[in-house]
Amino acid sequence: MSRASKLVLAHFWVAFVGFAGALVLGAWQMYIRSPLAAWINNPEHYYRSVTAHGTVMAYVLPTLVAMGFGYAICELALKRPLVGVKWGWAGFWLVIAGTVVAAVTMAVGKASVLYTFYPPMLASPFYYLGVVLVVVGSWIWVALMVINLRAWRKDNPGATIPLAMFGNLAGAYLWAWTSVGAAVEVLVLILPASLGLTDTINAGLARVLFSWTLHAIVYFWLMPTYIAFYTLVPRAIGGRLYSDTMGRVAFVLFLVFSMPIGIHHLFADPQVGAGFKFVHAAMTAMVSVPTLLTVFTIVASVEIAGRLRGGKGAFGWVRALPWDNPMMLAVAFSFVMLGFGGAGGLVNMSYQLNETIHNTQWVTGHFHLIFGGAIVIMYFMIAYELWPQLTGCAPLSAKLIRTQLWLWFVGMLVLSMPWHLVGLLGMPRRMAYYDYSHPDLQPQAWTVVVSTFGGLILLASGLLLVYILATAKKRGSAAEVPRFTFSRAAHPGAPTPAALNGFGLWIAMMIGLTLVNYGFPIVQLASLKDAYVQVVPIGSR
Amino acid sequence: MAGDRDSTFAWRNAGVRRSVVWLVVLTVACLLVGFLWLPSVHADFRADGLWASICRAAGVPTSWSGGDATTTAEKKPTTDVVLERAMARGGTSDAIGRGATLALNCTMCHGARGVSQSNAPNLAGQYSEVVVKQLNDYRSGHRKSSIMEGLAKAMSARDVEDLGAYYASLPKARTAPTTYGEALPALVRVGDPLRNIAPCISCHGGVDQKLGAPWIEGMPKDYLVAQLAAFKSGERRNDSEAQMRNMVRAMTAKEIDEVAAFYARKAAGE
Amino acid sequence: MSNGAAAHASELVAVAAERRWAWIVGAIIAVIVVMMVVTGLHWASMPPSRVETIDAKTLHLRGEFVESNLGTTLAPDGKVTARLVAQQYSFVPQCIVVPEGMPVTFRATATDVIHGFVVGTTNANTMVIPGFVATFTTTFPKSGEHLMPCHEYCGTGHEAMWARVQVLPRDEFLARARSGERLSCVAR
Repeated sequence: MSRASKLVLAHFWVAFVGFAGALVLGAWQMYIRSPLAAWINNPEHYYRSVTAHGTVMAYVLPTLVAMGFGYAICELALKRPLVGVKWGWAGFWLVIAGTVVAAVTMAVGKASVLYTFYPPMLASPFYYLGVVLVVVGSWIWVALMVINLRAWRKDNPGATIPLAMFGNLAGAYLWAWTSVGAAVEVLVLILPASLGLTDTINAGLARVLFSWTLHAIVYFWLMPTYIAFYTLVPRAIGGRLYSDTMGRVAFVLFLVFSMPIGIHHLFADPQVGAGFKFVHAAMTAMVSVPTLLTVFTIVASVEIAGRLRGGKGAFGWVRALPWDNPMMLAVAFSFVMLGFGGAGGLVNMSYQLNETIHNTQWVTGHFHLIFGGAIVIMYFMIAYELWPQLTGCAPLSAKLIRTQLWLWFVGMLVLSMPWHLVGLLGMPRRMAYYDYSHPDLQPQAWTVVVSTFGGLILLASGLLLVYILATAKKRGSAAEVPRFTFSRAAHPGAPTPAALNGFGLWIAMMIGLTLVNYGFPIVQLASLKDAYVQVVPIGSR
Repeated sequence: MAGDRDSTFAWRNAGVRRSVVWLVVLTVACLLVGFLWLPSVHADFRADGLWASICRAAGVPTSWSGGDATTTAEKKPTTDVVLERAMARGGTSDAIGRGATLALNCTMCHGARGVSQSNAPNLAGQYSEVVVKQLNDYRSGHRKSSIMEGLAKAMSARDVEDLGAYYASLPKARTAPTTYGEALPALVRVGDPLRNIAPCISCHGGVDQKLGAPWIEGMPKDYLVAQLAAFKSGERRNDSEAQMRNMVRAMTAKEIDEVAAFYARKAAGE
Repeated sequence: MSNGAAAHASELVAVAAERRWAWIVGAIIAVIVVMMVVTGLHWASMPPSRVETIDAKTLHLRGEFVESNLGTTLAPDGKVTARLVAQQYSFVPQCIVVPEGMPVTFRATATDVIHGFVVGTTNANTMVIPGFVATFTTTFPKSGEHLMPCHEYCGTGHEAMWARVQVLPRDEFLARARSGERLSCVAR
């Protein structure tokens, strides 16, 4: 891997440095609204931090990791140099430019609208422009993924797309389509209002358009992790992938069902009808299918590794697993957090149960556990796995990595479990401080204190991650970097169905379902006169 | 599209056929349950027939039971003014000129160039929509004042707008923006959540500026105390939907004095 | 290298195990969806989904949400309706009165930005979006007082936006409601 190495490294470095900075903000936020701290002197500072933390963690970190990992897969899985490196750099610099513009705007306090930026509240147009630039930079990446696959197929007619590349493209197509929702919201509704070209904005429609992106984006975030589950984990722990076909099935199911389910974020909204809410809820149940299939396939693949190491009996293979291998720890931690986070997700998506926890801290605890926990822990492993390829360094210290993973796992549980509980106790979201002296709020106080310590543990883990990556080369260079391989299937000769070697059908389904599930609500809301309400620009005049 | 070979779309491909059929079946089933079956158990969905029920499930707006028909209260608005963003924009130079002339009548209480020496509020640099709203409320009698009602009733709607444009064009009276150092009284910088008192700076500038919320720095202290007391007692009611009365209701007299003294401190320099 | 027949046999075992699991997954999904449908039918419960529009600019001038019409009413047919408005940074009325053990229909709208509220630890929970009226019906089984915070970020005063809901014993509520006025527990 040569041409793309620097490109991939650039993506990962910016991603993880931004990540570390956002971790500092997150830990501070938890502390400042806990009973350990006096109320912040100016609540706007808290909301400024929440905006920055959310924007980096949701829009910058996962996008850059997916992009970098995608470029690496193009070279490593297709075994050919990356086509369009210059365009890749153009995309990278667009993302950086957007990040910088948004970051500066947030830092001076002109964009404290949180990363969900729901109108009619409006921030400075520079914030939105920054986000747009980030998204446009990622669209260049999408195009490059398509182009690289096409070039490979021309040279390898009839061949089966390697699983890693298949998942990569599924993620790219998914992102391209899902980003349309927020892009339309920002370009058509928000920017004209933020620039002062109009005094009214359709707040209900903006929420629906944002929901188009808001759920499926988490599956875009999830793709690198699942690609790692299928193509890195089995090989790293000395096993085989139980079924290549199942991996493809999971990826195409994500492609089809991630999109048309966003309205489950709007269950409590008065501008969407009950019929659409139910349809989205039922289809959200469908999107848990690929995760359940993945859990089976990966556990089975891990079992293969255990039995190959001599494990016997119904559970003896668990003890035989290579627990000193960081990848083994990571996938085990990820699955534990996926289990808890997934269970929480089932509550959120249940049409009626959602009413109990909507917009309470349960929701925040949930997505920190499932995204910050189960997904991001594999982002670390992706970086660790690729680092020798990218930098020519000697193998990284397994002990340090294990420490970093343990800190992340423990920190995430300590952070998020009390967070779920306090949501059940009714604590609302997104407040800069709470008056814990009231008898109704007093029982909530200890949960926030515990979460604060969880946040500190996570911060330590994040800083250790950066340390490990930064000092890798200093620890020594490899005389020869071993050839990078992806996992092999347990039954490698199995033919891949044509439908699982292409994307046309699944993309058509994704678009078709989106039209059915979103078409009418969008058109309808756009045509309602009363839905256009006055804009409320934030900040002093 | 990458990976696009004819066979992925071919109906003869059993996998393709089954996938498409299952997806259609699933979608239709969800639609039937969501749009027909579930709404049918709600009387107010069913009230106007099947098609109306489907439309309601789809989110077509309609009026639901519990609407206005059952209310009998006398509708007494506390203010007639509708605040719009356009009101906050600067006036034309013609309007400012006319307003300057009209303002000559106001100098006895409100000071030359809008900086008052008495307990009347400063108007210099006040946001135009604030001046317009308060004058219109005096005109309609929704805000009471023995002096101001009479004066305002003599004005036309255009006069009111011109005055708003003029005063907004003047530099803000004796003030610098509120900073948020430690020295601010607690109610100004953090409010009191469980008494539903929002920080003053979240509406009155320094951090955020709500449309229609006046600039109050440098206002005479007695004026601020009197207005807060009037909101607290409910005597002043032209804050639409009680937005200020809700803030002041739980404040003590001492707190009113403290925040008024804080905002008036910039006037002390005179 | 295992011989072809053994490899093929093990592959069949693997595929069979996958297929079993796929059926189990399908069953799990079906159970979840069926539960949603059954509770939707049996208890007629659904999230607030009665779409209704309103002019946010003139709420204070005319219509159902004029200030003097806000609060809790008891209609001649026994229906209890609590009307409220959300704005930066308070709910009106600041203190809402509801009866114990009787269905209460909440109707809420916003004057400016997006708000939302949850009542204590109950499942009375909705978004309040300017331009729309949020309607839902619920019952409070026990008397007492609940805090009612705004739970959607609505600006730099969001953390101070707390109202209260007082659940009165049924008789006390009915006695107060007979007078026909709009009830609230706001101190005058």
